[in-house]
Amino acid sequence: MSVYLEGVLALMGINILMALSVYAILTTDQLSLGNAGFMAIGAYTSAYLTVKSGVPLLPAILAGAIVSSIVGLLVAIPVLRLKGIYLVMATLGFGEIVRTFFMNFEPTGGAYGFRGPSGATLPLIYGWVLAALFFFWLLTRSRLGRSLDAVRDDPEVASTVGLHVTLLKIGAFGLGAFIAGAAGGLYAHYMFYIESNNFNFLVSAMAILFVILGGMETFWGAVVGAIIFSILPEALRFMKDWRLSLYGAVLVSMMIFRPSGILTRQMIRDLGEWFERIFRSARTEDA
Amino acid sequence: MDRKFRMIMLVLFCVLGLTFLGQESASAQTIAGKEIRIGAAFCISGHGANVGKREAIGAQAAVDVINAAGGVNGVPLKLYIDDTASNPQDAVNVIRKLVADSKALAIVGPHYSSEAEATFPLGNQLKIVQICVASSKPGLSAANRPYAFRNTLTEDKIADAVVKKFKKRYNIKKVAIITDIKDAVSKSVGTQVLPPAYKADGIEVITGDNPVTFQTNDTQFTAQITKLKAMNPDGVGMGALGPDALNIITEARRQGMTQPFMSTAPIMEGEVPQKGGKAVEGTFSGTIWDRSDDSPRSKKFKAAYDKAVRIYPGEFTKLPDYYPVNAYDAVFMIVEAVKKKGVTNKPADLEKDRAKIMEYLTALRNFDGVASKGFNEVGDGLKDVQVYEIKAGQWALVKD
Amino acid sequence: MFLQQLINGLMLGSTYSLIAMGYTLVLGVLQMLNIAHGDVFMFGAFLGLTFALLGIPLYWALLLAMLGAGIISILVERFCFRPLRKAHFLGPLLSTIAFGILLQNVATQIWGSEPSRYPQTTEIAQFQLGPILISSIHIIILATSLFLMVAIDQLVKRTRMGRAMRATSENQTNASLLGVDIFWVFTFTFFASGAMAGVAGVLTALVYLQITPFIGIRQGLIGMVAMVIGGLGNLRGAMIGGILIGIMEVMNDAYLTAGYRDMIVFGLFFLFLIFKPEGLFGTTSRES
Repeated sequence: MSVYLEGVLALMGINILMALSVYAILTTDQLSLGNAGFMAIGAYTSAYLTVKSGVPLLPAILAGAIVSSIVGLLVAIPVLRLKGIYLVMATLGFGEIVRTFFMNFEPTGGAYGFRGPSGATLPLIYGWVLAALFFFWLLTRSRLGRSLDAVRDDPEVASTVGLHVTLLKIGAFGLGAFIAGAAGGLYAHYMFYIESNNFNFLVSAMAILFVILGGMETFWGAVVGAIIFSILPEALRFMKDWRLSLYGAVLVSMMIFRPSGILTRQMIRDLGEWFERIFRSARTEDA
Repeated sequence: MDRKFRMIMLVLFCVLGLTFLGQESASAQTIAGKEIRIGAAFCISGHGANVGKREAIGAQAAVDVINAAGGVNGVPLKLYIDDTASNPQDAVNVIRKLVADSKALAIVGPHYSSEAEATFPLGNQLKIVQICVASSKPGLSAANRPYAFRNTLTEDKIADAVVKKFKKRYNIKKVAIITDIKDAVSKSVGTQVLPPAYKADGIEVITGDNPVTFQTNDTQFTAQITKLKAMNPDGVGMGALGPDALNIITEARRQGMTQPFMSTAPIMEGEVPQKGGKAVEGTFSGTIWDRSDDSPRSKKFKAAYDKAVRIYPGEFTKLPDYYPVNAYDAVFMIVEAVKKKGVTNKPADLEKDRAKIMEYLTALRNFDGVASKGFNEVGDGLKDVQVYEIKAGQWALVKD
Repeated sequence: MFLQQLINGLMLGSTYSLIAMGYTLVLGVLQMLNIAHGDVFMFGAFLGLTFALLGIPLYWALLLAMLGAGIISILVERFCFRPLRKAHFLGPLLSTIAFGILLQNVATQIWGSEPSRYPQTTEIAQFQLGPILISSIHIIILATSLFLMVAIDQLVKRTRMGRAMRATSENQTNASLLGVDIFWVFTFTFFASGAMAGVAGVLTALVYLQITPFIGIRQGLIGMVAMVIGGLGNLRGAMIGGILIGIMEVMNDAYLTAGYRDMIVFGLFFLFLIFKPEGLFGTTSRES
């Protein structure tokens, strides 16, 4: 595999995780514009562990994800009371606070950044991606998954049926933070270097755009969105210095023409039926 | 209708993806001995678009000059320029692309320290030389031996030279420091480079360990100047990039400060003399080259640059500063390595060729460039420092 | 020195006020956050620069920039809000983020990524009042913010358009049933917001000394913070919020270190959202 393709796939895998982290929180109808903050926490924690404390890679990334999810749970508690625009802005504020914190925090380099983490390979990154996908797949088939749907579609009804809405919402934050933290750890160990600027508002915004444009209804939407919009800037290289302008224009157009995203639940169901039909016909042929 | 539309969109995107992948394998068939490939990783878009384009032009100018003289043993050079978009993720992709697709022998670039921090270790992993032409963040090359090189001078060497002449001209006994705390290079200049340079010359640093601070690209400096003014220093040292330095001095003059200012190489970029008017007259700085330099080599560079501007024409790329000079010299250094180390340019020898270039540059101490002499033992540039002051809207050499 | 720093903060804050007021106007009427607002401000500054460089006297350049910024703001409405009214409520918000990226990169293509300077045709006078120094341009900005605040306030309270805006903000369906052309209200609101951003752009460019295509990003965020502190949808609140943040930033830079600045500003942002979401002066917009 070409080194170039390897690189594009690596960043794409990290983007998929970031999109899934947004999706996780979105399942309870909360939108987080601050997941770059969780990514940063995971990145710095895991990098510090491997570089300064000699912790092996996988446990370090896991630790980063756990720390990030704890912060996510703590942040969720006050933020939970907010709705709509207020919630979005609070998460934005959180992301900025985390970024500024790391710009000042000397033990992890402060403005000079943190050098040294390494070792994230494609198998490692996609191992995490597959684990996350498997988890979400299980979730859709589980009672918990249906509870989350209920919370999203109608929180009042959900609570009357006995679902602990608040707990589910906090849990969703924790889950999203966990995945973003893992993405951060993988990012740090792939890029060899991190600084607070790598975790700015735009990173959070891009993650959300992946989900919205890919389709918010299923977790596959987040995946598809991340894949397409990781490839797009590379495919547009021929545009030279108009590349980023075109990227913005494509995003705006997509929001206009396909605001519900590329994949919908209906589409997944259709795809599922189509596969089933093929297998069924294959089996009847054997008989 | 709705469903069909979505299917079409999905198919279109798949096709786009496949053509992109297809591009990648198609170019794998075009390696041959008909050109010598040099990669260029510069910011063609984003924050660094202007300076990145100038650096690319500088590199292209060198390629033009060498090809006009027959290339290397008759084989012409080809520069493969890719856009790092001023951010480390794209920079990493660019290095990978230049290594895998363009099969470059060596890479000139990137520009920013934050890009290089990510691409240097990658260069070591992929075993290809990168000659960064702008970063001067302390310790960056040293941490990334053996394939990382920076054709720049670290700020401490520049600071020493500038401080001496600054003190002499203005009879400086006590100085106050104002520094950026967001940009790594400026921060290190303001907090790690200038204070010891002043102390070594017997100058008192009034601000001690607590310089007046600001953030890169701050839009106003009233608070900082009010604070500086109250300290009443003989002169002010700045850890800042060009545009911020310009703003600082302008605001200082507005508030009635008359003291002279000084800094190191970063403020020589950003057209400070041209934009600053009377306010910035007398400011001191230093670097390895300025447009006003009239040596025969500089003239040759400037002439080549004027022709190479064709690749990115425009108002912001017309005039070269010292970054394209670093890029220009870098290309010549790579070519010298190619010649002297017997690089074969055969596809089978690619890894060996890249290693040869690295070996040559590691030992290069006496290169005869426009403003470059080679690299020191940690991979940073060897250059002469020139001290400049702003006089009549230009940087002028300080001769005393 | 303390008094001087206070004045410095007041001056800086008045530039934030102008941006915050534009934000809050759109939020108040449409309950939508226009993240491209900061970039409209940036474009206004550059348009003013272009006109000034063509030799047009400053006051006319200001007016033309105001017009231009207003038009760009209308484009934001047409591309990011109107087509997405039926979509997920955060669609417009995200579309404005993308539009902002577009504006920044187009500006980079036109004017370059390096800072541009306004021609120094008007000498900025400095007045020394006892121990403190005030610059004429800051007084102009403060006066302009006050004037615009009063003007928009009166517009909303007394004119037909103002009534239409208030009706639309209450309930869009009812308003249109009552005969209000809500689309015209949208267009007008965005135009006014953009025009204010344009004025802010030109005036603050004179203070800023230099402008780049990326100044909108931070200014936009600060405007959002000022808006929240003052109270969403509240014009007076936005103005005072802007000034408070200006003073806080200056005091931080003077007595602490510039590194803490964003933490304090965004920390306050976060705390207000959690504990006092209605801001200091109460919100006039309905919760979305």
